[in-house]
This record gives sequence, structure tokens and C-alpha cells, in this order.
Amino acid sequence: MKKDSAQDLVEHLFRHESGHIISRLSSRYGMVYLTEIEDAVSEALIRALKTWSIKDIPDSPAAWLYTVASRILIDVLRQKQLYYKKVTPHYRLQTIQPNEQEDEFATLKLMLWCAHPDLSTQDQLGLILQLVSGFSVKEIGSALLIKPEVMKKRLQRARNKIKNIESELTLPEITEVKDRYPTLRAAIYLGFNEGYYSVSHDNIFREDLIFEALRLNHLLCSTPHHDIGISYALLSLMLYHTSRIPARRTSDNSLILLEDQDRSKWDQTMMRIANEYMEMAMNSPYYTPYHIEAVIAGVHTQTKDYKDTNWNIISDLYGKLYEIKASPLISLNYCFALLKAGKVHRSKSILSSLEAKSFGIHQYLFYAVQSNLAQVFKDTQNQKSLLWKALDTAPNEATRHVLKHRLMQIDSTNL
Amino acid sequence: MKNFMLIFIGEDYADLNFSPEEMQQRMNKWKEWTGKLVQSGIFVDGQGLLKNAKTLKTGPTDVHDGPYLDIKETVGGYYVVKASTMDEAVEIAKDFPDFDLGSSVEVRECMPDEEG
Repeated sequence: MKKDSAQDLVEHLFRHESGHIISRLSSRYGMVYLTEIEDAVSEALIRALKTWSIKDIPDSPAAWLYTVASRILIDVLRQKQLYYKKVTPHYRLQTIQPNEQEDEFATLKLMLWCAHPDLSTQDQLGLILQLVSGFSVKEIGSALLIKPEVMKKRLQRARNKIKNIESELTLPEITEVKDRYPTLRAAIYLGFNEGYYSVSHDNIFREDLIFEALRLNHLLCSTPHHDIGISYALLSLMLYHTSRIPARRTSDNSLILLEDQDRSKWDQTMMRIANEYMEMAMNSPYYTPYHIEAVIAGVHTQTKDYKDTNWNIISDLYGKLYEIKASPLISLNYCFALLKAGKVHRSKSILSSLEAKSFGIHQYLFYAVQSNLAQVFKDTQNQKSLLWKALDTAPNEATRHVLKHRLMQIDSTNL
Repeated sequence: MKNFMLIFIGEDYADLNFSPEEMQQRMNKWKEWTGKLVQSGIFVDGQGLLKNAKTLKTGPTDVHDGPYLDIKETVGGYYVVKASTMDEAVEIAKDFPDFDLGSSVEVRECMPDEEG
């Protein structure tokens, strides 16, 4: 490696390697030593920091980190061995031979361990971000809108919960936990959504979260499993959304809605990869909500001009989603697509069955769609008052900006 | 040109709960600084120190754990650089990357061999 060039180090190497090393070491020594393993990895990173700051980065930094971390861990385990023998005979050091499995395989096992069915999706995601992604408690808290000290306690409780279950002292064999793939996908998707529909202002970190969710799902898709077709669908869906990111924000960080986006800014390469995963997903025997959502995202992405959007197809697809799971947000999207497709009465009847409070932080969307309906009926008064309600409940400045802009447009057309 | 030792004093990295990403960013800052010193030919030597420490206080049998300093502060490492004057050495130390962590740099002139 060239001398003294910080750029030589792969971007995010520390973060990704910390996840790999934790996975490999916990595969080898058992989850019972998770704390010791994390400490050893952290110590190895500090040693790297102190050494590489002065001397050249070694040719294979990942291997260096792994070797140093295992050496530190083995020292610590040796020191503790006596203690464990006396106090908890059950927890003796396991003599699993180092296997030749790839990092990916070990990491997947660790992710499945985190996706324990007794935990909430949010806690599963938190553990994955901490152990596999190398995020700090502070970063995870900010991603999930939870105070760091609360997050810390929750993660600790989640770990203890899993560790108290006898069979979870070692990482699970993949075949034992194949029912966990759906929960794992849900956790990854939650991470993606937290990044994509950001309610906070910390945009840089939000993008980190989006790309981390993509990386984890990529990893999932590169390891064979029985329902991989569903993982493909989720990856395709996430890639379609991500391809639009360059057109989603103005230079001063306000949000640009789908209809106003400069579609030439969409990432064509990413769209092509999304198409490939879409095709693989469609060739699998599964057809899940992820598939439908991916098709919807794909239809939008492949429409060159917003006004050419085929709302008939999109409203039909939302109709299918609505039949499978009529969550508030899906119902609302369905209503919006129906409106756009000119099926006003169906839209109105579903919309009237929904309640503002079931939308939580997304309440403003409910009012915004209601105001769209009022617009169709040329009820300007109502349209405006609903937009004001949306404005009052909007969670961030970017959204308020869009809503204010719309209110101004109405006023100027009605002068 | 004389040799000056820059002694880095602050809280140990291990106690700062960095995320891996934060550590990597920290290292990039350090590499940038060191790279500059090496390129301008004034970097003589340097070493990072591990947290692991013992102190012999009053005699050969009086061995204590940890460095003999205030509780949190510890010497994390040192650089030796070339400079003509103390002021110039202080100038070099101004780019120290860890001021934002509350750490400090002590600048000491090394005693030249011929005066020993």
C-alpha cells in the first residue's frame, strides 16, 4: 500500500470488519462470550488506530484486525477460564475448530441470532446494527428515534433475553432457524425505511442507514436459503427506492415529491440491478407484499414522465396489497392511487373508514390525501383547511416546506 | 534543527466508546497529520501506547496498576519532530487531531547528545 494515504483504506472498513470479526469469533467461541468478543474487537480497532496512524496500513488490513482481535480474545478467555470452570461449569470454552466458512456465512448466522422471534422488530434491528453493522448505541438511538441511554438499556435487555435461552449460547445452525428469515427481512426493511423516510434532520447518517440496509440485504441474497425469492423482492424494492435518492432533495435539503422530481437524476445503474433482482424474484414460487411493492416502485421508476404514470396498474397493485394487509399506510396509498386513477368513489369510501390517529407520526399524510380528495370535488375551502391540518402535524421542516408550497399554489390559482 | 517531543495526553480511546466508524474517521485525521509531517521531512519517530500500565512509585517493590497520573488522563503516545525553535514546534503541535476530545499536547525540547 502507498505510504500515508488515508484514502487507501477501504471506506467503512472498520465498521464492516467489526461485524465480520464479531460474527466469526462468535461462531467459533459461542455467543456466551459476546461481551468479551466485542471488547476484543474494539481493542483491536484501537490498536489499528494507534499503529496505522503512524506506520503504513498493512496490505491486508482485514486479516490484521482479525488476527489481533482473536489474539486479544484468547488471552482474555485464558485468564477467565478458571473462573468459568469454578462458577459456571456449563460455560466452558468451546473447542469448535475454525471452519472455512466465509465471513458472509458467519455474519448471516449472527443476523439470524439477532432476529430472535421473542424480540420486537425494533430490538432485532438494534442488535443487528450494533453487532453486524458496527454502529454505536448513540447512532442506533438516533436512527430509531430513541434516547441513547434508553437504547442502551433496551439492547442490553434484548441480549439478556436471548442469552437466557439455553439453546442460544452458540450461534444457531442455519437449518434450525430457517423460520427466522421473515423476521430478519422485516428488521432490514425497518432499517431501510427509517433511513428513507427520515423524520430527523441528520441526513448523512440517514444515508448511511439506507446503504447499510442494502448491504445487509445483499449479504442475505448472496447466501442460499429456501425463500430467497422473497429476499430478492425486498432487495429489488429497496434498490428502486434508492435509485431515486439523487432527485429527492434540493440543495438546501428540502424534500422533492415524486411528481416534481427530475427523473434524469435517477440512478440508472441501480435501476438496472433492481430490475435483475425483480426478475429473479418473479421467477421464484413466492408472491409476497414485497413483490407487489417492488413492482409498484418499478412502475414508477420506469415511467419517464410523472403525467404518464399508469395509475390503473398502480391502484390495482395497491388493491392486491390492501387485500393481503390493510395497514393504515397501505390503505392510504391505495386511496391516493385510486384517486389518481379516477376511481373517486372507491377511494372516498375507503378513506372515510380510516382514522387520523392510527397513522401516528404519518398523520400529515392522511390529511394530505384527504385534501387531494377535496380537490377532486373542487372544494377549495376544505382542501385548504386539510392542508393546514397536515402542516400542523408534519414531523419535519422538509415536509412543512412542501405543504406550504402547495398552499401557496392554491392561493395563487384562486386569485 | 533540534528534536522536540510531542507528548499526547488525554482520555484513553478505550474509554471513549467510539463506534468503529468514529475510530476510522479519527485514524484518517491522524494519518493526514502524520503524512504531512513525514512529507515535510520533520517526522523523526513516534509510537502509540497501549492502555495497559503499571507504576513503580517509591521503590522496586511498590508496584501499582495504572499510570501515575490523574484518574482519566493518560499518555496515549508521542511523536518526535524536528524544529528550529520551541515556537516552531508549538506551531506543529497546533494540528494535533484530538483537541476535540479534550486531549492536550505537551511540547518538550529533547536534550541534544553533545550537551550531555
